[in-house]
Amino acid sequence: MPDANDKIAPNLKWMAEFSTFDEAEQKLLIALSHQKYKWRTKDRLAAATGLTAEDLNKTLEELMRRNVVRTSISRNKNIIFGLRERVG
Amino acid sequence: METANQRHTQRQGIWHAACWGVALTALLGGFTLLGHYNESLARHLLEILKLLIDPATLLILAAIYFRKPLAAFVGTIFSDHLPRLMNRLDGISIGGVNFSFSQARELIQGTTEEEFRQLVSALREQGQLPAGGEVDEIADDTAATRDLPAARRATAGVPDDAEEEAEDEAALPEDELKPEEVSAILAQIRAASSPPGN
Repeated sequence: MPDANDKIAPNLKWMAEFSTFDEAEQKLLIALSHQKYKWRTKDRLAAATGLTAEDLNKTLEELMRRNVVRTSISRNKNIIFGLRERVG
Repeated sequence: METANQRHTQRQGIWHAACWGVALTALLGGFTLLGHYNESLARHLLEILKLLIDPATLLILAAIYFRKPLAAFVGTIFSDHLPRLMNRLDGISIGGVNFSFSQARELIQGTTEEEFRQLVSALREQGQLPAGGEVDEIADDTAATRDLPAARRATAGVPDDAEEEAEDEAALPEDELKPEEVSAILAQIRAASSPPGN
């Protein structure tokens, strides 16, 4: 079975500031660091992190406020979220 | 992260503050009434009450009431509650996430008016936008995007890689991280970032 670490993009800047984030934010940042997917929907983020919808919303707000995460709109007209350092 | 307990405590705090407000108002009314019978006593009591409701005194009393050091109490208000409150007052909720206007603007930049209409309609259908208000009413917002210089507009909003990079919507379930995998990675990062010997 492949190591879960293989699913994470390497050398991301947020990891250097790891301790400045709380646990929910850290989980969300890991989910947003998926090697293959730069843009994540809320449903998938919730599934990956196990956060409740309320906690997920608040954590996303906080990460957007800190300018670590940005949003966009997917082809399927969903709000999608990505690490600013990856998606620009 | 706000827990149910914290929310309960906040609600309790608001309720207590309301009770104190009513009590102080009643006290003020009582003093006014007392002034008709014993003006001197009422004036003295009123002076004490004015001292109590002085903003600085109130702040100190609130800090004592919430059992927090004054500096921490004031710090929490300015560093946590106030920015969050301002963010909510100055923004829009989409899909349960509160966006400030600047974040919402970033979100819609680069979308054409038609794309924006489709997005709003899709979000409405999903129940992710509050009901009320036709799309036409907010279509004016996209005028800002339409007025962007052509070069700016070409690079505004969704970057090219949003189209090229796979979004996770079509992901196979086995691709997805599982909560236990996220926790395991978290533990590894923690272990790697903690100083040796800890």
